[in-house]
Amino acid sequence: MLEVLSNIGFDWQVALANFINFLIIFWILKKWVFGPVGKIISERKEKIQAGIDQAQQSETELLVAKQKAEEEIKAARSQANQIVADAKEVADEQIAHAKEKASNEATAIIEKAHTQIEKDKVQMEKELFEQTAGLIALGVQKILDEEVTESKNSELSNRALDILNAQK
Amino acid sequence: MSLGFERTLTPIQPEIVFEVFGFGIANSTLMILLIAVAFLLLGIFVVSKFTLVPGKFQSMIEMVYESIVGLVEQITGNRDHAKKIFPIIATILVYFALANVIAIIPGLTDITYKGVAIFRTPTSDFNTALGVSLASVVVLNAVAFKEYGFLGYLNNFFNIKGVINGFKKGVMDGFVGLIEFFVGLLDIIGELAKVVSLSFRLFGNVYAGQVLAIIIMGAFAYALPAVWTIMSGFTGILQGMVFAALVAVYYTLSLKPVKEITEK
Repeated sequence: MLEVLSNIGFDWQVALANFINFLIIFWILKKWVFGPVGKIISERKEKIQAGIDQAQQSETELLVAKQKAEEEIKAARSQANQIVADAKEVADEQIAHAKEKASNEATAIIEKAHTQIEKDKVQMEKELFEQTAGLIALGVQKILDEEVTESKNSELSNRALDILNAQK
Repeated sequence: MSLGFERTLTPIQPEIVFEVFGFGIANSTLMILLIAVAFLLLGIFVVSKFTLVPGKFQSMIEMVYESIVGLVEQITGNRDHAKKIFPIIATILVYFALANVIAIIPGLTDITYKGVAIFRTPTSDFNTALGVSLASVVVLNAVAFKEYGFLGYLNNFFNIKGVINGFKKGVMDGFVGLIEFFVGLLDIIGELAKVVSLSFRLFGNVYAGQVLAIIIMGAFAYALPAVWTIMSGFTGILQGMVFAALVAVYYTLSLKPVKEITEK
């Protein structure tokens, strides 16, 4: 067998050297070329895939956000309408309340004014009567030419008041 | 006066350029070392310059890489298997490609030392074909060993478990197990046969190509040399492809049963 092999150039030393050299080439290529190139390609693929995934996710998120925004706008509109309606109701209530309050206050003012007028009238009447009584007493004094004492004056005044009161 | 180039056929025997401690260093070995240096430089360039954003050269290398991955996947029909044997298949392909292309460099094979050419196309030496074949089979077995573990791997060649389980079931099953055991032993010879088969086939094709080249170049000296040189380079690459494909097929054929046995 070895003779046959040696006829086609077999030399165990050369064969061993070439075998080892090929294994060295295999190791160099595996460690320094195929490994790094494969790593770079897979890293790039991962990055591209991550980018695509992220883009898809962003698209989905955008759609969800749009939907959410639309829903929120809808809800906000509805809420705004509700607020406006509530505000109108409150405003109406407040206006009514204010009107009522104003009316009550006006009534109270008028009543107070009436009372005051009545009081003033009585006071004025009283003062008028007193002045009138004084004038009468002064007139009587002038007519009678008699000094009207304080007790007399009081008596006359009272009498005059009684007369006036009786005439009322 | 004779027309045509005088060209001699590369000798079939390895040419020893010098000796190191009595160990003969052939010119094919030196050429392989030169190729190893070229790959080492490429490796350094790849590690230092290759980035995620590729340049023209990187794109070209990546294209070659992807093509080889596709080829291996196509042959094995399985992505995981392809990943495992990709380094050895790719090494065979690029090694043969460069070995055949580098020989085209004018004058490289004409440099001599003490009358012996320093460099020689590695594939024209049987020892290269034998070395690569042996290395391929060794690497394939190493891959199988790594994948299936010590017992799983040995089970492929020494199926003692099958014999014991067979006899437990019955005499007939025991004998079947015994036959399978001997078939397993034959697989050891099969592994050696792979080395012989691969190396003979490769060397035969390359050497026959060289003989044919001499005949054709002798006959059509002024018309064909350049074309034929390119053709022979291309044929060398093709031979490398066939070699790599055969290694991949051997892997696919030999390792599937091991997996089945392990699964059982």
